Amino acid sequence: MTDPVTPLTPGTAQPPADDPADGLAASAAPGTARTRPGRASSSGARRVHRPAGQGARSSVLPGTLFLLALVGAPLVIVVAYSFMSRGMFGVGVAGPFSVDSYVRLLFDTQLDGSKIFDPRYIGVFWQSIWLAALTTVCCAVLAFPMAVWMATRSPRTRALLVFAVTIPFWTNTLVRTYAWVLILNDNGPVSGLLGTPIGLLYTPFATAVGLVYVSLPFMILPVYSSAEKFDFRLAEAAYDLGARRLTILRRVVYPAVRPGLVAGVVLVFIPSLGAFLQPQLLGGGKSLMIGNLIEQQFGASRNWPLGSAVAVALLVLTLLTLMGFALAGRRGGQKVSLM
Amino acid sequence: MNRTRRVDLRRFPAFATVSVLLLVFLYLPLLVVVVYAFNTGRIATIWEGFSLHWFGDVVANADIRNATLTSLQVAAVATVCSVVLAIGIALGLAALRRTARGAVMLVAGAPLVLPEIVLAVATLAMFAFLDVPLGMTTVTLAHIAFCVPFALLPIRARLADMDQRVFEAAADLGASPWRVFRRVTLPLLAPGIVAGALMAFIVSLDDFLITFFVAGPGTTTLPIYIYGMLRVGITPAVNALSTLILLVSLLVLAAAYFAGRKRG
Amino acid sequence: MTSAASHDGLRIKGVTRRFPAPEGGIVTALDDVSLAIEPAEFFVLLGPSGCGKTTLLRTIAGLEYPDEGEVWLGSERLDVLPPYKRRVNTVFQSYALFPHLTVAENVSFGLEMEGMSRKEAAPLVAEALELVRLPEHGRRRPAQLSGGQQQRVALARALAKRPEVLLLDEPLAALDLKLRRGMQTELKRIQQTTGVTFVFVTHDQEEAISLGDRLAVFQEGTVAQVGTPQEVYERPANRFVADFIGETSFLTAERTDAGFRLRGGDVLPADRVSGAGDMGDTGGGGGEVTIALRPEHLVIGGADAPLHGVVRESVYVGSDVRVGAELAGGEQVVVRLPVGAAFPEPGTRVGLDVLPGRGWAVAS
Repeated sequence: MTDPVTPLTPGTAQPPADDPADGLAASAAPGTARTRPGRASSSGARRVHRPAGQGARSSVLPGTLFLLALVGAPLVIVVAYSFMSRGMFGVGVAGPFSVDSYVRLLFDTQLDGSKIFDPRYIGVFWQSIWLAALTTVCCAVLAFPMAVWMATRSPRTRALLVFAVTIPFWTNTLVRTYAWVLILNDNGPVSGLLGTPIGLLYTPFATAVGLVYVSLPFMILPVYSSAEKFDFRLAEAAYDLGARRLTILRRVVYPAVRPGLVAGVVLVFIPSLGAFLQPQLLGGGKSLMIGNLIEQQFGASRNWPLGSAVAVALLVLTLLTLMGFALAGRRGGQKVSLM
Repeated sequence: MNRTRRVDLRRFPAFATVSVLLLVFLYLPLLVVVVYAFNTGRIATIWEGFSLHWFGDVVANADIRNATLTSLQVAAVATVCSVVLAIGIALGLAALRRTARGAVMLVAGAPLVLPEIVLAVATLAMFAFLDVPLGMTTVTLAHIAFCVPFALLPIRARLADMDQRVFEAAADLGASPWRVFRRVTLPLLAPGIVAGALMAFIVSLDDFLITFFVAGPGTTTLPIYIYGMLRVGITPAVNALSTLILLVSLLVLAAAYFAGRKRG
Repeated sequence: MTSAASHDGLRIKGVTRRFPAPEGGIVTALDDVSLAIEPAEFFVLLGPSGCGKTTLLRTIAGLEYPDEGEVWLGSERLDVLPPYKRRVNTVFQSYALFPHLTVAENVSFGLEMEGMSRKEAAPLVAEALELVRLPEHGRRRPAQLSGGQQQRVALARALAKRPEVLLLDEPLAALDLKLRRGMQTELKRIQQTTGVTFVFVTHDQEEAISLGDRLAVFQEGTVAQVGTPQEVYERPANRFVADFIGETSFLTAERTDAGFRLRGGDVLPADRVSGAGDMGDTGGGGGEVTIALRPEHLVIGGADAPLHGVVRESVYVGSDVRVGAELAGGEQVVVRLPVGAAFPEPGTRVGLDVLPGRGWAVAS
């Protein structure tokens, strides 16, 4: 639908039209039929203006370039760092290309130079995946009934409930995580109620509670937005046809909210996998997750290449997760959209 | 419809129970923080009696005041910049071909999908690579970046709801592209821009991890300050400060909610 | 509010516009279209959806640019100008009123873009609202108006600019039938009082015929015929036009010395048909022609009538009776009889005749 056009940024004077159309759009659409920009016509130098519309395509450039500089470029650099060696005095990085950091994730080098398998880092990955998966499952199991319940309320109540679920999501994450330190510590209300400290804080359990707590809105809201579109008279109809309640949930309600569930799983699993605050504040030293490992390497241990390698590994895990869920969404025949 | 909905509820009674328990689960921890903020005792976690004096301590603390100002300053700049960039992206996207649009959305959505810790160390690595000294500037730049997608979401949604022909109508009536933008696009986009700015502002105030890595020793935002307090030990002052933060977020959100409802 | 036609007419010269199709490939929306639209004319672009008429309108407005060809308004070349520099205004199908402005501010918008202050524009705004008979509604918001009223505001907003040419893109499509009739009369009145050239896009052939001074019938990106409504109705250039405008029955016949021999063997005398001579070799090599027949040009006659058929149905439609008959060769024809005439029962054998010269030979 777009003709070769003059890029027009709001607020700038119109450049001459025989400028080539902006590079972004031109390079991004190879093989599509387009006429030549600034082509000569019978009347000589012809000015071709962009059709009136809401905006010029070049107006995406400042934002896109900024994000490429502050998100894209850092990712490239962190990948590059992961293939280098520690710098002098542990500051920054140095040296030629090396895969030592990746080797280090799996093996420990002995004094005599031989390498033996070292399960510590892999253990952290395993712990993280396990905790993130646990968090995701808990959220899904809890959010499903709540989302369905919300969707069956009156429109007014629904709006209020959505707002109620959103408030914690907008309040400070650090404060919300800290709240559980207050609740779970040995002098806190839980121990108080039980009459004896049972050492809840600084356990993987505490980490999981904190993760579920901060993640729950990210599961409830997308599942709810799917459930809201569902016509619950269908469930009634199924009931009238003699279906048992569990059958209705499995065969009628679940397929309807599946896209929301898939989106929620992505929105909960990925942040949980890279969580830092919850394992740090609630898990203490006992449930180290990938996020803490990265922080240690960039902080106290001053081993940036190893930290970068761990970050790259987390990035790869994230991308694999995203691809997996994109496939799951496609197989379900429903478009799953996160944005 | 309402009738059948009610019947539906009776058939899944456990759902209501779970929902109510979840709401309690969501709000009880916040309530605990608030209650303990009024505790007299020095040890944060043992209740000794009602007192307001920890609030006094927080208000009188110059470090907290400075951290609050730093947070607000970063959030304000990040909000304005990210909203401007997001408006540009939202307006330009529609004029792009599908492939280009997908590429831009990928870049714009990246901060939303990437693990925050990765973004944090990567940004740190880049600043170190470029030898940029850490401080206010690096924090603000990083905040702008992760605020863009949050500002973009409501602006894009608003744009999609609009009759695209009004822009053509304005041009047809003699408005140059700049005047179309000033007189039609901007006023029509205003509610989306306000919502986007609110989201960006809150997200910026909320951020701990990225700030933690790119702030350097001299720059302390409020979350960084609280984190520091927690490492020293739990004191009732943390509770009081947290309560104040909760109160402010609640007020802002309630205002936004009712403003939104009035608009319809 | 008179905008004297200061131009020498709108000239479309060989305009071609291609779009990449969503499923790949290229769609030619306009294929070498040329038109001459005269000053103060009510000109209708008529055709089914997807025929290119709206693309042409948008090309004139500057909302699309031609791949080839030129658009001239008098001595000014339009197609190289951006939309905001053309003395041409548009009434959009969706009205496209600015929802954040009042009715008066909507109408004032275009004038302010010319550099007028809101105060200077006020009398012109009032005049424009008067013209569309909405003088009291200036302070309302578009959302508070009915569809018909929004339509009038869109019209006032475009006319307030005193354009040389007003482009209307299916402006009545969203209105119900009764309102549409009223607005048609209104549009015609406004066009006549202002003397502005109207270029009006519609897919409704009745609307086109009742409104247009002249019309252009579009067929798949090309102009099939340009003419007055009468010319187009009575002498359609081809089978597409005959079929699209009005109700038409088609007969395939072989040209013989005696006249036109139909498939069933009946021969229609030569004097019943015109157009065949003008059309050259319309029927192709074997002397075959297609004859277009309007229902009102057919009569039911006696046994000595040249054509013979069987009545299949008789439908009373209020103003007249429509009789569907099947000819000996199996062709279906529709005959219009005045109410009151005895109308034949289905199954009756009837003789049929065509009014002299009213059969119209068309290109297939």
